[in-house]
Amino acid sequence: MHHLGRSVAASRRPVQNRFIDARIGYASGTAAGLNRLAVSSRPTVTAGVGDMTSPGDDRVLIERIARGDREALKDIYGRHHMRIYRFLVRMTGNEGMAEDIMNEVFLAAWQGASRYEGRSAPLTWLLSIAHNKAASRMRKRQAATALLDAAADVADLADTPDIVAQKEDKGRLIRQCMDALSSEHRTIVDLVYYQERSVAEAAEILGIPEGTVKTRMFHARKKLSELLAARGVDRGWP
Amino acid sequence: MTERDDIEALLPWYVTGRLAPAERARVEAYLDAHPDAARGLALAREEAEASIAASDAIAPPDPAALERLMASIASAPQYRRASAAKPGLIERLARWLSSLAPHQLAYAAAGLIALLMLQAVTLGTVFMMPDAVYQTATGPDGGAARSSPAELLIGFAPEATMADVSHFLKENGLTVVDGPRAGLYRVRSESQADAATLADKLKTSPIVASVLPGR
Repeated sequence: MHHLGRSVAASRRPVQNRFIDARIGYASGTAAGLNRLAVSSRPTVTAGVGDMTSPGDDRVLIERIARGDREALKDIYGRHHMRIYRFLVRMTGNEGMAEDIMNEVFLAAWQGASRYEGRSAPLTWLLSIAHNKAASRMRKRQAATALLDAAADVADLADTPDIVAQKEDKGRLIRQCMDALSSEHRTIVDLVYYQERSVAEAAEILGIPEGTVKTRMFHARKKLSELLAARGVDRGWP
Repeated sequence: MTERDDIEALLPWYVTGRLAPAERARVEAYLDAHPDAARGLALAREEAEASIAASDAIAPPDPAALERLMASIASAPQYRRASAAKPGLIERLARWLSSLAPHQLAYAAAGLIALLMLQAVTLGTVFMMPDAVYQTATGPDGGAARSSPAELLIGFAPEATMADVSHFLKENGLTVVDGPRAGLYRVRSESQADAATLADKLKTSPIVASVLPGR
């Protein structure tokens, strides 16, 4: 994974438990809902942290930015820079590049705030800018085609004694396999699970049809299962 | 894709709560009918937890990044749209309406309806009144016609001499303002008589062949 530069794996800190809002997604008030509540659990995982801002507030900030208000730019940076930065790290696999592009994203937001038409949530708009700039940068550096050779990575990892211990930590193993996904697959996984974008929002950010979003996510998950299977974890799917 | 594949494809969004209500209901119905599908849901949740943990583990960027951003915007021109600098009437109205609380919006809507009804009643009353007849300023009985000198087109008999015509014009207080065109002179009356009365009088003269309205 040397081509990841300051890679995600290398920089990983001890994982904090961010599930401060693991709400239960039941249809309340119906017999079916009550049945689900009694019989099984279908928790709806939400990122919870860092998404405490309302799109309405963000829209006001963007209007202020369009009028040249620098304090508004600082505010929206404070609200969203971590999400944008993490999205870029997940997409590019390089923290230095991610930081540069993040700067470009907010600079573009400053310059083009008056072009924001409010059709999508401001965070979706910012993520869309981030994706476009990262994709452009990666194309220039031919990084888009230098995707991780997942199979090779898995083979390398499978030969190390550490793997045996890692198998005891399934979550950690899944994260490692996620890092081994292609940039395209890491990006869609991050948009759906971490950024919590809907199908339509992910389609807007990536500039692809909604149907392609679903199939891309499906294949990313399928690839993840294959990577895990190669490391001795049979998920039973697909 | 089988139905199962369709449902599997939706599970990631079901787990994050970002499915549309119809799709959410579809997933839940399928899960109710196929208890073994709960395994797929557990996998999606597992992936979501791993993805969030992976992103959360990414160290924040350099704190000086914001300073660099603020320094870079100092020399970065902003794209400005005219409407952004000075919103138009429609945009200002839209902003005002969107700023209203629901009850304020209801009052505004009621006021607008009342205004429209008042306008309808006023217009209806004006046009339905028997005496309220719409007239143009150039109509035969228009105020403009009464307040300005009458004009007529007069054709003289072929045997009329210039002296006869001159005498006729002087006797009736008429002035030639145009003509002859197609054998007709446009004459203007100096009296306050209306055009119809004047025309009837002039037609009685033996040197007049025809009299037509001049306007």
